[in-house]
Amino acid sequence: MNAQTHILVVDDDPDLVEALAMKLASKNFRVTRAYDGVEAWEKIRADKPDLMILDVMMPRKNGYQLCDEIKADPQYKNIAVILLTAVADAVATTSYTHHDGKKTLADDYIPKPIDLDKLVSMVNDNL
Amino acid sequence: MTGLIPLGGMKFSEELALAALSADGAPIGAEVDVLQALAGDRVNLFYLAVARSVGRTRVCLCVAADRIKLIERLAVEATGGLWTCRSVNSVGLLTIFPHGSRLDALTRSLRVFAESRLPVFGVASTLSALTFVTAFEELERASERLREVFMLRENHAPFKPEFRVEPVTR
Repeated sequence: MNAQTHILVVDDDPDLVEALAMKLASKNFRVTRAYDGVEAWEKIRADKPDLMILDVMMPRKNGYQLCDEIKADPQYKNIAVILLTAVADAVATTSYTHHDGKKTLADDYIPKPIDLDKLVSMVNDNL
Repeated sequence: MTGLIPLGGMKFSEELALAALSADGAPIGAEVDVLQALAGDRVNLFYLAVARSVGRTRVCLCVAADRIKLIERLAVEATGGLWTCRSVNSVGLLTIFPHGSRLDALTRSLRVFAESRLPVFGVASTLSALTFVTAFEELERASERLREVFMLRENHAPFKPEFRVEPVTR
């Protein structure tokens, strides 16, 4: 893996974005950040990533919508998408489930709270 | 002061209430009992700061406005009267991000609050964000003043929350 591999991290929790970005940068990935689905689209069009790590519950455009739009767009459908799915069994404050995530065309899914080492392994598997 | 500091976004919380708890002579870790009592009632904490100095422990927390009476009861009664509680109704959190580890993001913000005579009940720094606890009715004015020293990116997300996270009843 080299520093040219570009990962876009999208979540409306800026601390989670930063934590993921720091972990991925430490593994020599090039990381960009977005804080909602609309901004993510802008970043994708400006600088197409190789892979996206995408939260579900975000303002303006949620992760399911964004994932579906990316996978329906011939220019961007080859971007690998890992969805951050908050599993209702593990996170008391969500009604989104892992099952909801599996209905999208995302390439992979990781539940919150996130195991960072597992995420890095998942990123490598999906590149 | 030179240049505007770039920001990715700014967020307002919903209307909250602040509880300032104080205990003299509390044993180290006494705040854990309070937090466990709150967790037992599944109280969401939007802001939490704990400080201890010379035998006095202070806990400052923000909760949904309709939960403040519960906080007073849990924190004071459930801990045997060790804690005293002072409440401030109608506060809000203003969060700016990312701060980019720039110390001047904090100093400029605090100057803005001071010069604009905006109340600051609490400040927190996290990995990526700076959060200020201020009067709920002053969130818009605080935001306007802050945008005189920060440059918010175009087409940023709305400041106000579009959804509210609620505990799932199972």
